Amino acid sequence: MTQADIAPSQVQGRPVQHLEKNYINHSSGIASWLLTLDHKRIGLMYLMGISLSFFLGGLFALGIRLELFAPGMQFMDAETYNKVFTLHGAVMVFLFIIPGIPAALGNVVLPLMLGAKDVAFPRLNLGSFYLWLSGAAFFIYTLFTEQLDTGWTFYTPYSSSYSNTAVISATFGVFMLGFSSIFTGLNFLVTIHKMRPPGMTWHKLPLFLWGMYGTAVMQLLATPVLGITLLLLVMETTLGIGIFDPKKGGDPVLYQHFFWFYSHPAVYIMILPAMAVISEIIATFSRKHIFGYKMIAYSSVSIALLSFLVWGHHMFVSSESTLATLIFSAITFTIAIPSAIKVFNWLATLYKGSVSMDTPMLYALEFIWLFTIGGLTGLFLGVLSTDVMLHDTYFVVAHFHYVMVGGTLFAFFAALHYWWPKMTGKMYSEAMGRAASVIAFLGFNLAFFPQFIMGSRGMPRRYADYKPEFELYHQLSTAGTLVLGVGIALIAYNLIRSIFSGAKAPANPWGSATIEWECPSPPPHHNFDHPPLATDPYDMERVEWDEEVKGYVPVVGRRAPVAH
Amino acid sequence: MSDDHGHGDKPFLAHHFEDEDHQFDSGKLGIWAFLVTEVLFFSGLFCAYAIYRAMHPEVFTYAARSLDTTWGAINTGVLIFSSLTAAWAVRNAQLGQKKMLCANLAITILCAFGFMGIKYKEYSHKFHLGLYPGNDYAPLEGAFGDDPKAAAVSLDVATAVEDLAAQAEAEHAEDAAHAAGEHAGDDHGHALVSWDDPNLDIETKNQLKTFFGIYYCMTGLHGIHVVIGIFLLLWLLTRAMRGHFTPTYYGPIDYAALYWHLVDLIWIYLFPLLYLIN
Amino acid sequence: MIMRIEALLLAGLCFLGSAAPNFAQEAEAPAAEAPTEAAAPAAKKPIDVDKLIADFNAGQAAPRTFNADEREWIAGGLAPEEVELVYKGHAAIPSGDPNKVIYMRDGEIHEIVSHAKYSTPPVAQNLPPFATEVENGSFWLPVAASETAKSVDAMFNFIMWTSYIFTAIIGILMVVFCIKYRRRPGVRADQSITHNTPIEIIWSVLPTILVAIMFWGGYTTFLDMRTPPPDAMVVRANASQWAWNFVYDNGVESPGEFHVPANTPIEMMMTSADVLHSFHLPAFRQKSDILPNRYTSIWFDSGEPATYRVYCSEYCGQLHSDMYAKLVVDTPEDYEKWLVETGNWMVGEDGELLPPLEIGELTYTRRNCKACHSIDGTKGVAPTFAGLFGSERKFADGSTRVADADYIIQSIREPYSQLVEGYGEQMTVYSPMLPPEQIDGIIAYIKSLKDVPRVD
Repeated sequence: MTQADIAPSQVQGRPVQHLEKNYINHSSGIASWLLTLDHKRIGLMYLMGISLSFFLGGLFALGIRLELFAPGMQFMDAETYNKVFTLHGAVMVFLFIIPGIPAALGNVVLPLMLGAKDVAFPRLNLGSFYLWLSGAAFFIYTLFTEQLDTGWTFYTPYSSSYSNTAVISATFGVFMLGFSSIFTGLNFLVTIHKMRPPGMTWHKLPLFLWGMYGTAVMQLLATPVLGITLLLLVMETTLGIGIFDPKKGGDPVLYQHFFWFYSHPAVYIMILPAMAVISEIIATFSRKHIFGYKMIAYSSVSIALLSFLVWGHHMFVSSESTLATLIFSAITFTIAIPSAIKVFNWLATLYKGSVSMDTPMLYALEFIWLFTIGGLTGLFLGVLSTDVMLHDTYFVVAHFHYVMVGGTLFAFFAALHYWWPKMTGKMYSEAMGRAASVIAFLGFNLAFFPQFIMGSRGMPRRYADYKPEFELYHQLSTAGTLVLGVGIALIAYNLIRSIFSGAKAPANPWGSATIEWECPSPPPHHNFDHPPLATDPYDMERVEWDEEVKGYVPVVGRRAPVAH
Repeated sequence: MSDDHGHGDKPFLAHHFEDEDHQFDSGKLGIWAFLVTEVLFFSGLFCAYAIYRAMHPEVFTYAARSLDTTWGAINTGVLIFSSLTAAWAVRNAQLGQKKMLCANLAITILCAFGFMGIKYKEYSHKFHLGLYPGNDYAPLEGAFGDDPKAAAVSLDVATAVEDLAAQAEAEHAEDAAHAAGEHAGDDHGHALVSWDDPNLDIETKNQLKTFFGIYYCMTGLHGIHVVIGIFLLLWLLTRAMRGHFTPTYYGPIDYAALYWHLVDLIWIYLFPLLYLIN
Repeated sequence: MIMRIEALLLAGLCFLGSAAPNFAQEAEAPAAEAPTEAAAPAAKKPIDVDKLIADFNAGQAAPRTFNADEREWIAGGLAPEEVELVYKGHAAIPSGDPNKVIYMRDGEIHEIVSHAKYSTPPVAQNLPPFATEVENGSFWLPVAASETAKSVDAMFNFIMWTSYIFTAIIGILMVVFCIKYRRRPGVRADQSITHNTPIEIIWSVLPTILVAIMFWGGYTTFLDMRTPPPDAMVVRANASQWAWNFVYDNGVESPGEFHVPANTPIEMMMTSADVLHSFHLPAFRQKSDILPNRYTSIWFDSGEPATYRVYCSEYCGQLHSDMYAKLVVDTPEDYEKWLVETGNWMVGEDGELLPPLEIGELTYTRRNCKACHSIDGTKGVAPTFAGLFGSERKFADGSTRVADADYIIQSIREPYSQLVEGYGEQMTVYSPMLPPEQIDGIIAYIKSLKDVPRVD
């Protein structure tokens, strides 16, 4: 069926694109936001919170890079530097990346994608947000008292007995954030299980939801272990119960096992939602059915499960037994395969597609490039012999920035630009969006690629000062950071400007076939009057471009479920 | 912001669910997922317990002497009974027996208070003996038994000082623990040393301290869960008295009972692991 | 409503904007004013340049003449034998300023200047500004100093080439697809391609085989790296907050620097006195964390004579980034000579024990007391030695005591028994390592600093 086949009369039944009353202006007053149970409003509040956290973490990053521009100490002493890199890591990981895609964007999109009116437990959802806020408050308190200098990993016995900084308040903050994450995961798990619309079998679940499902499982199973670990750390710091501090009879390596039992799955809590977003965007902008749907879906679940078995690879040089290193190294490689499969599937989706390079797609393609580098450099760290030399060097720093920033942050930007019209009902400037994306991409590579080189040449991480042989790489890296900063500022400007002067967004600006695009932009308070009938989420021919609404509308006669 | 939009005749059916069954099933899945989280939350403590006990079994069996098995057993009974009343309350709610529901909830709450009372007694007794958690740990004479002589465990001083001989030390100490009391005058020809001897080498003292660290963390965290349970049940009791629960809407009672069973179950593991190991 | 979100967002930004400078101020506060000139403690002995040069030339076949610059460097404390190293960038030019490092690179003089307010006294001594192994290495890697290191490099290169190939394939396909299948009017995507089992199997199995090879190769090399040969020479490394101390089987101790004979397998037995550290030796591709109350060990084959850098690579607190050590691989003769000299550091040229004050001054540097205790009166991690002797100490528990010799001994033996107000439990318990001569020396040294004014 081509565009010409649709008679104008058929288009008359085109769905409502905008509504006078939507979830944003449905009620007013500050209390209507702070006490809202509406998943979309909670998502927006999360978005504001994590954006501020990102800004704060970014300031710390800038501090690190400026100090490292030249050897010698120029702007801060070693103590301050240690605090700055610790706070950069802790704020970015706990306040931004972990809740980034699931809590902020997931909250807005997940029920819409299911055609549901809300998540399963709206009150718990609001509770999660307030837990996040309390966690953030503890961090702010930490910031204004004695700060924190333990590194985001809180390794004992430094954190429990040697650091003179506010370890306890920071730990409580992370504890709260952990429970916020658990409750979000629980909510999403139940929502995906119980709130699917008629026709949406597990194999018709959009891949974003598969990713969120895997994430929820990890949040539920891994985060409580972090909770108890931090609780024990607080007990060790305050009372000295003798579990982690060798002076008191404890074992610091036990702490590392506990910590990484959470924090390795946490790495996948960060990247799985990102991969899930990319699967949606690649299919939509290729206007083509996603390639290897089942493989992508199952790889998400297998990543989620395998992620629990590889934590020991963070301790190859921490006096782990040879047998343990053998096992953990082997399992680490099994987790590389599902990640590789996803990348190949995305590429195959582009093949013979109708590829449009809109801003979200640009981010998605950049993601594939950066994630490929991040993933491949992970091989160096999984191989035992090369890990020994690269462990705790800048190679590791570059690797996890390629995965977490190049991967998760770029996917977050992709998702933000993709669902922005749905969330706010406004279109941003496409030209500026693309420009910002390219600037951020170039800046990112310039900032972090040199770190691989200095890392493999021996530069250890968490150094406030360095020897002049590493000067060139550090200077490139700092320059790249500034470019990346400009890119991010441009993104922020473009998005914020669109709220005031952007064009009205149609219900479905990109031509996606998933359900969230069937309600008007922005959605009304109750999302859908009637639960929509789910079909194959990647049946792109189900929607067609409509010049009049400047967006895509369902093709009449193609509403019936299509066999997959 | 009201939740009952569209379900006027069913005051407790949230707007985003189709019907009561949908709501109940979702809640049930949610509470089970939460219980899984809880189990993993405690797993860290069980793991720490297992590791330190495997490394120093003799320290654990020795230190467990200071715990009062009688009160522990009574507390176990109290919790098991309260689990019964909690389960009964669910049945009452399903059958719409408001009075029995309130009674069973009230009994459950009383049991919880009883449990905490006994716990308070046990804790304060230990504090009295100087068995504080962590840095303040300073056991008084006889803290590990009424008769200091009976508490004396024959221990080869030379091996105690050598960390490398931990394995042999473990077996030796266990043998000795069986023979403690009558065999205090030892047959190995070595000097005897009491575990609460201030001259005992620091490693071993630290391990005793670690046992109490783990003991207080495990029972303390469990106690916090009991307290949370008390608040939860009190809230449900007030709702039950107002007649909120009907045979079609009894989810909260069911969920709280499940939580209460988990709290009970954790204690059923804690009791033998901590109290019954000598 | 959108306006309201906007307002919140802006308010948030302003809030953070005002927060940032406060944070900086807070952080700066502890760094008290540092005096520009380090108050010289025990009177510095003037350096006799001519004598040093004469001594140096006595051991040379052909005497070397030193130009004016070089004589100035020697006067600043550089050993004559190090002069040549300066031109290679392997030794620093004495700057006379603790906040400035001067070095030469390709015939040009470069400076590393730290702001006096932010710099800490350099902990690592005699470190070349440039690490030879890094300078002479390849694009990715430092020089591989042993056979084991070379087999690690072989694996590194194998993974690197695999990565190049995969990145290239993925990158090129991505660009080609995006151009070739760009959206054009009238052209639709081919919806028939949703999966292709043979291809999916191939791209799952192929990477599996590749990573299996990587895993196995890495594991076998790793086993080799972790299994020292039975005849390996043992060197103990004791790490403590921001200092290394190396101990040989015959009891000789060497802080911050250790020598080993060439072409010998060396086993490092390591433990920490306080927090976690890590022994990181890039040229040998070796690393291991160092833990308190535990021994970890690694080994390497020392190879040809050269100098290498050792880093601490596990974050260990404030001066983590100054925790370097130097590894010198010597010819067996040089090694023996060094061992004897190092073992006899407390003995003077006349064969007698040095006076306590000199031993104390040397101990202060060797034991790295200077990382925490300043001698110029500035406040550091621990109380300054300046003006300490005879002053009244106020302790955390409110009691006081006059700092006499007995007080100093007790502070070395049981540092936490009398914590000075405002300081934490940080000091390493040194008494097991310090013989009486050195304790006496420290007392004499602190006594000599009695009249230096203190800032705190």
